[in-house]
Amino acid sequence: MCQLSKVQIYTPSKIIQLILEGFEDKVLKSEVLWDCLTCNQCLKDCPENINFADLARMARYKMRHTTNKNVEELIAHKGVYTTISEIMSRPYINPDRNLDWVPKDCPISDKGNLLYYVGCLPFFNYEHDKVDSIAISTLQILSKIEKEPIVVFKDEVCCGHDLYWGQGKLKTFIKLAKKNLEMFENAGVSTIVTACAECYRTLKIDYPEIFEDFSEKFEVKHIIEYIYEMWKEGEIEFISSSELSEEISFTYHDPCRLSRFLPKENNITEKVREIFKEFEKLNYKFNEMAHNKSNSLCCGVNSWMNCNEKSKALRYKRMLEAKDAGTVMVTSCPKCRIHLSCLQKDYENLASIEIVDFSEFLIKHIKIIDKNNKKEESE
Amino acid sequence: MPEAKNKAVKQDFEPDILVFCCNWCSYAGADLAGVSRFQYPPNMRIVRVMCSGRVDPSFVLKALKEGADGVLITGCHIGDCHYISGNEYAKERFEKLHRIIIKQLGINEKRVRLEWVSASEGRRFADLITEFTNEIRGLGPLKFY
Repeated sequence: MCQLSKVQIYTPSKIIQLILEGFEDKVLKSEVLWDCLTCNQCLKDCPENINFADLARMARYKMRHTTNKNVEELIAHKGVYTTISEIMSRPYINPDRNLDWVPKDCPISDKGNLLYYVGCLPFFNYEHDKVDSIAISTLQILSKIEKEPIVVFKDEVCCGHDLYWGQGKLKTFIKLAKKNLEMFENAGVSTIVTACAECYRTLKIDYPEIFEDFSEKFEVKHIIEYIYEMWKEGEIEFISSSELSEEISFTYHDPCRLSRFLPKENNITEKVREIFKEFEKLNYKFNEMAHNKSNSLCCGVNSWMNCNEKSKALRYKRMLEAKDAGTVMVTSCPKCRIHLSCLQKDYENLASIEIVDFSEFLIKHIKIIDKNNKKEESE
Repeated sequence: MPEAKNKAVKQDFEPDILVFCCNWCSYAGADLAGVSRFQYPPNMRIVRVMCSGRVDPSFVLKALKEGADGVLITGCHIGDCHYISGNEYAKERFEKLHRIIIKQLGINEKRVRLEWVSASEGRRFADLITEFTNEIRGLGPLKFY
């Protein structure tokens, strides 16, 4: 069932039917597709496998050219963040990112094997608090595990996700993709790790559609996948931090980009739950929310579009579920974290839930297994 | 040859500058500059807003995106705001815009500036525009297309 239809009248099936009957112009003219959250909940239940989010994206591309509606009214934060992405797509712009957030004990370089793709986090600092801590803890985890310095670009550009899905700006998206590809090639990276669900989906699925050999050249991993692999290979283990005295119950919010937007063989939702199961040994209690995995509720906003009272209502529903499930809510999408914690400012009863990113949650609990020591002990 | 051509372009380059003026002080200051017949370069376009606090950072970004080479925001001096504290908001926002967005995008920080001009400072308005235009002319085009 469409998530948006919980708060307003919205019927994807009717829209599809109108298009099939030949009333595409009518649908485009009514501009109803600007409202779509592109959360892809409807694809999950669709017997015909119609990718409605893709349809909304293409319709947006057409609607921008055919209708007179001022699209900028629909963009959240008055379009600051999408304008930033657009400016970054221009060939003459070389971003000069502030790398002050990089912790002193984490060596970074501009050439190497493993790239940490930060995404637009440093720009979100403009209005949102504590987003840097996601980047800091991810980099700390990576440099704990890897021996070589991690690649972090000073002139990294946006992946283009928000322009692609939110406004259907295909040309700008391709420009950004080309810029990114060139940078990856110049730095000689082979593995790209990101902590952002949207960057992950864009690099993993949308870029190979533009550049045929992208997936052969680069291996894209979300930080969840990376930690899961390291854990399975026996490189790391999870330890309890000494501060814990009583059991903490926590829950996990699945971002749509990591659940419904990935092919079925990519079972990232199961991997993260396996890691959380291990945490039950460490005085943590993992509870599922009423809607979870590929059924999970949307955080209400997508690609900085349509942040209004309806999206707020959706977020409120999600937060109520989280409140029933535990005191800590883990998510793996920086934007979900931003949107959900934005709601906490308005509702005191929800302020008690601590919303943390996956990397922030794990940083205290990761320990490297020293293989040499272990061998000596066994001897 | 291309170098010489570039140089020629740079010499001929006329910047496009967008100026946001607050209704109560800076716009009146611009008016005074005009009435008093002070000379200043014609490269700038004024957008009148009711208060410098109305200028959202997205306006500045959009201006840069659409081809402005420099953006100047002007308002009443601190303490003189018609709406008591609008210019303080403008200052706070502007500093964040400068530090976090303009700098990290790799755009020269001198291209975006915040200045206070009161209604009686016609001379200062003309001087400010002349100086800002010359500065942008020295920096060259932003090359945004």
